[in-house]
Amino acid sequence: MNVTSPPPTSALGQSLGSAALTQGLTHGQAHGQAHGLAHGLSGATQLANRGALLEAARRAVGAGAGGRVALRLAGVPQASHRRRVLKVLLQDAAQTGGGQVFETTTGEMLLLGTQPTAAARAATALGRLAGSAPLALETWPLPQEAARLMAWVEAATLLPPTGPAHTAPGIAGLDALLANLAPELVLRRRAILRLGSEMALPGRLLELSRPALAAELGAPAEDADLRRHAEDALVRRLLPRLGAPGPLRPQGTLLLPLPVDLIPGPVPRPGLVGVLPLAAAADPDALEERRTAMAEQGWGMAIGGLDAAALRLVAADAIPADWLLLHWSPALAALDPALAPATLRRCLLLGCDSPDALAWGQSRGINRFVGPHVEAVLAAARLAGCREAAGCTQRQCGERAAATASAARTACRNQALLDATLPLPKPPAGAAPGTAAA
Amino acid sequence: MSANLTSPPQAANMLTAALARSGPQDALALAQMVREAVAAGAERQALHLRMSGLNDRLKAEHHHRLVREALEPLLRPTRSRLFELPNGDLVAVVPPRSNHVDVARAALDVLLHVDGELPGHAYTVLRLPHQAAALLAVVEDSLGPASDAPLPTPGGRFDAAGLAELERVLGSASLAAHLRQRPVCRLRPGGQGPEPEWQEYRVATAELCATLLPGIAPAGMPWLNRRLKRLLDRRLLAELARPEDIRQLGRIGLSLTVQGLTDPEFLRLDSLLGQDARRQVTLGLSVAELLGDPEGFAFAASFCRGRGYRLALEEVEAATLTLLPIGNLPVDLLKLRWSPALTLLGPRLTEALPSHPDGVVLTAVDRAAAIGWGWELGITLFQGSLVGVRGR
Repeated sequence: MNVTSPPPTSALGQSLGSAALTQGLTHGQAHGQAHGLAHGLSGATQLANRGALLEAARRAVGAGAGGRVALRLAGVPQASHRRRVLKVLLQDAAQTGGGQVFETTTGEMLLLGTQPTAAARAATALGRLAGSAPLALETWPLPQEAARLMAWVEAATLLPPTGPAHTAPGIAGLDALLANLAPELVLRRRAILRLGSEMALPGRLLELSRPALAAELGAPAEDADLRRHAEDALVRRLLPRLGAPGPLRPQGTLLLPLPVDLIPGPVPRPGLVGVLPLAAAADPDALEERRTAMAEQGWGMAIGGLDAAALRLVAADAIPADWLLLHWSPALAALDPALAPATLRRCLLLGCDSPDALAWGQSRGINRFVGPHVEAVLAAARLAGCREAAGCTQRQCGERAAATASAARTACRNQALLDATLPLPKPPAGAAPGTAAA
Repeated sequence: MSANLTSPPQAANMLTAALARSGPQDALALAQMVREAVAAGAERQALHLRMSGLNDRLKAEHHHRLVREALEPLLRPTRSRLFELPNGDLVAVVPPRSNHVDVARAALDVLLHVDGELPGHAYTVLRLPHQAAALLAVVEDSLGPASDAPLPTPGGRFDAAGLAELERVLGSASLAAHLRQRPVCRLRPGGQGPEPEWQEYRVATAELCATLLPGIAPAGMPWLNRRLKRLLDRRLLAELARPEDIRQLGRIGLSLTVQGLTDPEFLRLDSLLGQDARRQVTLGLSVAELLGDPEGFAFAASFCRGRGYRLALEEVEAATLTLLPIGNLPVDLLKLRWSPALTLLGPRLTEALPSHPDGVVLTAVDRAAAIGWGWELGITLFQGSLVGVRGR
């Protein structure tokens, strides 16, 4: 988020030209004129350009335009679908109360020159939207706050017009690409840290790296459905390789994602747990049958996709899986979900990016953790105990431990330590501890 | 539209008609009797004996005779009748509060215990008119599986290349010929015929694909299929959002995806509909959409409901209510999928459903038993082949 403090008012003249401003004040034209993007999509596709912004600002602070306001919205989510919804709510206000909507590249929107009642209604509607991050809203009465408005206009870089994208290029060749892509290139293994009377590393979680998928697949990876199609296809190709020794066969338990419609055959090795999407739990009775069927083939079963938003809707206690994968966020701590102790003991807390996540989990009875913070702690511990660590950074050590392709690990001169479980082997007596994180 | 709606109204009538075609006279007579009992509110007891479930030894001729003898006391009252269903099951219908039922049960228990069978599995006593639906389900089950033929599935495998080809062809093809309306109908016990409450618009996807890309069935690839649905949804929304037609839309329903509700095509329709028109629109999101993206679902739900639309959670199975307690759900109605398994849940389900009678639509209603069951729970909104046609 790029909410800069307003530049000094003197910047006004440079952007608008004091002549333009004076002209606007003198003519006082166009007040009360609804510049709302009354035609819906046509408005959305022809985003007002900078010239229109200057013109609208001039009108809004013009002499006859008293009583208008500007509604500024900061912290607009990056996801384009959310942006569109917010814009619709602002455009709606523009239709009834006049004004025009502008959108910047830095995640801000401005409803400029509308009536105060319309702005207040829009603010209420925006406030009611469910979402992870709260939106920052400011209402600027005009012309009293003309200086702030002009400072905003000065600083704003408007988003270029975008048309709806109907087809992603590269779909036709997607399956061929997937058939030739080694799953190891896009798979990462994350350490599962168990905290209790002593720390342990009971297993690892395999996941498909989105940046790696995007790099390998290009445009199709940007579409949620094509990405999941790709993930399913890669996992199907991965299954036969799980028995072979190597990074895909770490000690302990290995959790890996399974397609929702896949019933796996006998496990190629012990300790495998299939992670099914939350949708697989739609029928808890059927899921219990599936768990039993998988157990007969040697598989454990986990359900993924649980986060703060899911726990507002779903009765997680009713999910008959061996493990539940719960995604950490500050919103999760704020929600403080009421889960049965037995459910919490089945939880792995994913996405732990700070000691706060571990502390919250432990306070609730969760004792298995996955995430960048865990990776960093383990990398630091490995470096501290590695006599080959000279020149290695903590980041490199973390990436090599997470990699499943042998090429990504070759730079490590102590690969046994990458695969080690806790407690990590002690460095030989007398050896100097390796240089820790650079 | 209404000319195409199935009539006459009573659900049991449709079953009667089906039976008349298939011929088994006793089954026909039993369905008719159930219908009359419901219409007149007449109380009856029915003992359903599952001959089809008895083991081979009991099916021997003399056992058959013994079973019939055990039922004999039941048939003494003049208003009693015995029906033999096409699968061999026997149903005795007797006046209410008849102690003959207890006598017959005792005889059956003795007879069936001889073989170590659990008598509870061998027969059921049902009360009319309250349990009419369950009895109609017995009749229908005796006729074998329902005869809605599955769509012929062409041999070709749907893959990303097929999807790309479909997307290319769809860029220029008109969807008009493939738009379908499915009514959600009000149907009350003893009331008139099904009255359409709103029309759901959808694209006949299988048919469209068969036309555009013969030999390819878009099944088996869930994510490619979903992407295709999103594309077709956008085209459907674009068809509906014609300024010249928008006023004639009336009460409609649309089944979309979480992303679809924020697509430019939906937002364009949204901008053309006024506040009042939005109240006439029921937007549907499936349980899979909710579970696939709970945060996106919550966002879309708050947006849609804030705009005045009614939001329906679709494809709800009875078991789903265990996972998704309705008190948590930001939706206005549930579309509950009919299945015979629902009849087994009884009071447990009544508690899990919204108390408001218009909070539930029973869908996939292809059997009279579904309507009877819905009525037992106070449901009067139905969708499916029995209450409306799938074509335009």
